[in-house]
Amino acid sequence: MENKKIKQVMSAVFEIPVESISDDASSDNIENWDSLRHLNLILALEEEFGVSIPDEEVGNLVNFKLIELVINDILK
Amino acid sequence: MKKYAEINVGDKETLIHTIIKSDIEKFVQLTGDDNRLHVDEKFASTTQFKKPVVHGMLGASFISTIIGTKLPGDGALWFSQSLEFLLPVRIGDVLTVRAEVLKKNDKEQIIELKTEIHNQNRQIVTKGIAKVKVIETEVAPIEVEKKEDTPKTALVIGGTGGIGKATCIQLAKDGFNVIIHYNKNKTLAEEIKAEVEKHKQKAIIVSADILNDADIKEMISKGIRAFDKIDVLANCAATGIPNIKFQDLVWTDFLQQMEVNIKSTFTIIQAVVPEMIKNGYGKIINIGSLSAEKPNADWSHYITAKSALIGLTKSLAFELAPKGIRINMVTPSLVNTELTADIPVKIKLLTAAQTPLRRLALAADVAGVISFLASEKSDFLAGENIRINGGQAMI
Repeated sequence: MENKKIKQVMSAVFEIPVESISDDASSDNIENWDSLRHLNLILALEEEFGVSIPDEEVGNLVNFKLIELVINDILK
Repeated sequence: MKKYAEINVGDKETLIHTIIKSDIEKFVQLTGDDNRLHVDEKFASTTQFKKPVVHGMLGASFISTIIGTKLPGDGALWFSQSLEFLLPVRIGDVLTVRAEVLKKNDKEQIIELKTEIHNQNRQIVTKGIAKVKVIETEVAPIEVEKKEDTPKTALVIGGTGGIGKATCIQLAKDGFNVIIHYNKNKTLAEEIKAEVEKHKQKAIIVSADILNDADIKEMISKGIRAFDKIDVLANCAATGIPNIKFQDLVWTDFLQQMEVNIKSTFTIIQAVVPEMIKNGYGKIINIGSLSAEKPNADWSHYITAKSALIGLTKSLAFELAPKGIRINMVTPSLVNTELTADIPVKIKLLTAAQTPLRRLALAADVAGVISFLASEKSDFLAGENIRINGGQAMI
């Protein structure tokens, strides 16, 4: 479930179709994923999931799999 | 050419040359010495010699020929010569140039030669003493190895581990026979043996406790009985790496890592090296860890042992390279194997994300480099550490 919601957030932030976001999506293959949008992504994720992402994790969320892992950890 | 050791006091060499008019013309052309005594018959007739006299140094130059081509020959460094010109040499004279070893200086590899030039009447026309340093070409014994058609044999320690298994298979693909060491997993060892044989190479499996000296000796002995030789040793054995905070570490945690990484490596190398020295050739590959250069927390016991392995590899490489044994190591970053199965997924994902090539190392990546170090392609590497980390650390 979170999987789908994360992709929707990413789609909105990066302004790309949700279908184009694969499990291997990362800052390497999403052209719009720059440092400014990365901060927007963190804020959007926090808002969507009602969580606070710790500062030390912010820099780690550089691909879909890591975002999924961290969000799931926080939601546990 | 003669080697210094092959030259004995009393050794002699001879060459014969008949002086013709064109010799003088060429000598004049080369040196510019057109002294009329040598080239002008009319002038010569007015002197006590009555006929032209051949340049003394023309005759003496044949001493150079005998030293440079016969005694000692190629590589001779002729650094001193005394000369007395006792009788004139004429066109048509048949010169016999003789050199005889009078003395040897072993420390400097210098020989002293009596040099004499006789004419056809057995009269000495020129004599002197030559000093020559015997220069030998810089070909170390290890470079003149015989290239064999028979496949090389590799002993893979920890052959049933992740990197060990990939190494056995890669070596077989690259034409090595393989001695597959295993500790307990005989079934897997036999599967790997079958895999090696699919690549048309021979394999045996050998069980040994690598912390037991007798087991190690027996393992080496079995390998040599099966293949007559061991050319390559790949030390792929590893033990688990528990995460332990420094304050919780006990000395036995260090010892466990030191025993597998250092004691067993040391004992196995010591057991296999006499065989490699006998063959004048050997390759040994140890496996390091990126953590020894780019440390992480909670692994000080493991990092200490791997750092010690760097020292062991370099010092042995230095000591054994002159005997033809090349010891090198590979240093992978985090490899996705059973050994690292307990490392949290997040760490693996983060490591991959932070690696320029965006993935973890595979056992096959490491095996490929090990096979390169086992091959003759890497014969000029000794004490080298090849990092396999996808660009994660560029040192």
